[in-house]
Amino acid sequence: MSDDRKPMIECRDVQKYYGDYHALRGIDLTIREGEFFSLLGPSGCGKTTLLRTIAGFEDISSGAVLIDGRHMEDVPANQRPTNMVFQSYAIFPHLTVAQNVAFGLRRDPRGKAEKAALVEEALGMVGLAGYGGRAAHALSGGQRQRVALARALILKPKVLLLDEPLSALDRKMREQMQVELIKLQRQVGITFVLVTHDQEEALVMSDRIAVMFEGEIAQLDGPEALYARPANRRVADFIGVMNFLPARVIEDLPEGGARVEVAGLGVVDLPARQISRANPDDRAVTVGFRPETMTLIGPGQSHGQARETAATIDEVVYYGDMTYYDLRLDGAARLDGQARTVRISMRNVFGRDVQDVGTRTRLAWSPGSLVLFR
Amino acid sequence: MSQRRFEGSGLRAYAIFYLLFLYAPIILLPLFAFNSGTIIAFPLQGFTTDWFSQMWGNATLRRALANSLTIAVSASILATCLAIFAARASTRFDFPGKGGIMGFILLPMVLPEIIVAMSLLVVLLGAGVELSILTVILGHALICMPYGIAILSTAFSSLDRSLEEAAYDLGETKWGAFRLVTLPLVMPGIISSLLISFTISLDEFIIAFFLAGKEPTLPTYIFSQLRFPKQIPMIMALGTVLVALSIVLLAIGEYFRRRGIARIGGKDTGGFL
Repeated sequence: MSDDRKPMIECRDVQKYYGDYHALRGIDLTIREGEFFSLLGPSGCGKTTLLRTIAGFEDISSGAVLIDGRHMEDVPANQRPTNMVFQSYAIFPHLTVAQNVAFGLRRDPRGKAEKAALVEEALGMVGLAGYGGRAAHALSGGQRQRVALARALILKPKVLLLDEPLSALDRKMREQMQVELIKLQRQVGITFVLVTHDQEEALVMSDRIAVMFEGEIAQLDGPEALYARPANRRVADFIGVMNFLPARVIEDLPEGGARVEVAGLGVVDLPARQISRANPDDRAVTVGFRPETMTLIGPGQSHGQARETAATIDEVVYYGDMTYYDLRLDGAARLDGQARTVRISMRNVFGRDVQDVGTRTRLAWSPGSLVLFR
Repeated sequence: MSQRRFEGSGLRAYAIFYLLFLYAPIILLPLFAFNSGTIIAFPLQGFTTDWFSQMWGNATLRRALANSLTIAVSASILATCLAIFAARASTRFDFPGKGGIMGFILLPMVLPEIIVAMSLLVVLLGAGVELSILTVILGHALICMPYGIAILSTAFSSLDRSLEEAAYDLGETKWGAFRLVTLPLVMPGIISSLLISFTISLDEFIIAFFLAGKEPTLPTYIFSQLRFPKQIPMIMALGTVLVALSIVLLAIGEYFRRRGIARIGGKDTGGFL
């Protein structure tokens, strides 16, 4: 994503109270034109509230929301250049598909034939060409979703807001719609803001992701940066699977690096880019790594990675394309006396056998996959 | 399965007796309405439609009927409109004292009607309002509204809140969103509310008796005529007409209610038939 595109949505120190409850705690955010932006977080983190303040359904307690450079303070939801796809889709059940899609054109002065062409075009865009005459209540979940998209996009909004749009679909349908949404967004070039609690969905679809906890943005980054360099343990824990091992900083190295002793892995030198300065209250020093960044190697095998550690297989979870191994690293309890396992994932490629529980094995890894939280 | 359970127990006989008890008196109405004898007793004398023509020729009765219909139509529309506001407010918004307010609004449903009628009479007389069918309309709206609210609350609470938001988001005004989306979707509830209010008002006696002044309504007229045995066959004819009317009315109402629900693909959560 290039940073030179103009800002489409700007949130400046947005605060929102519900009575005593502090729902949004000073959100500062700039979403650029044409960006696919996600608000990701567990339920109750304020992501939907933030989306609804952008849409104009919720007033903010203080701060400012700007859309396309214009202050939105006195602009009600029905006059904002945003349209929303609701979690329930909110398809009007008493209208046909075409009437649903044409709903926003009611105040449009254009002629009937012209509007009908627009509706057909919008339906074609979401893959529902020819469905116009159907009763909306007879549609499947995926079709409702498409109608909701067509209904919002026909108004050519500057921003499309999507409130957990895929959460009601089954897994296959959801994955299909994820890809279709990305394509659709590229095609129309509109700014999309997606609210989701599904980290995988956010990683798949977004240009940038804001991870929110308790009304605050914990980290705002692109998917890869978010996954590889989480800002703190909480983000790391929320995005994908991450193993944590206790660690002890031996000494600080020049240029912000650190020499660290990691339980079970030994002493490593980590450069500044692998070190996340966590919240002040997150005082325990830990080292994290993703399950797929380390590899099991059989007896006699060697591996290009720099380091090896002996381990015992504690549990095997077979997923078909993948196998998860929970390992007890030799010496993992050295720093604090607590037994722990780490999880490693291995692709089940041809010729690689699934190992048994209790097998002695070796783990190959490189310090480049470690992240230090201090 | 349930059929087998019925056999051999007394339940079948009980059910038949129950239905007889409910409907036999009503079946007697048309029987005696077409009976040429003036005394309501078996054996039947002969077939006649005199009572119906006598009924039609009775100016007071026609006035009572007109009054009753005016009252029932006005009261059911008034009660239903007020019930729409109350039901929407109670299902959509949270406000302090909501439970208490809703409780007080629903109270007339269980309050003895004689109390309501008496207190209304005292208040109206005290305020110097002249008794007329207008005062009956207000009284009937008061007792019909709780039923309307009960029905419409169900209709509103089964409605997805984001539907109205979606309409607003798509550029409609708040009123436009209500008119174009909410109103059609709660229409089956509105029809139910209108119907039940109409039937409650049409045969309501106590409030009409207290508040109508000199104007007759059907129930008060019927009551006044029961003192004259000569009039009873005509009352039977009137009763027959009313029963037929109610059946037709409820059937029409139910037809539109079901059609409305089928059109939005909703689940039928209960009507009257």
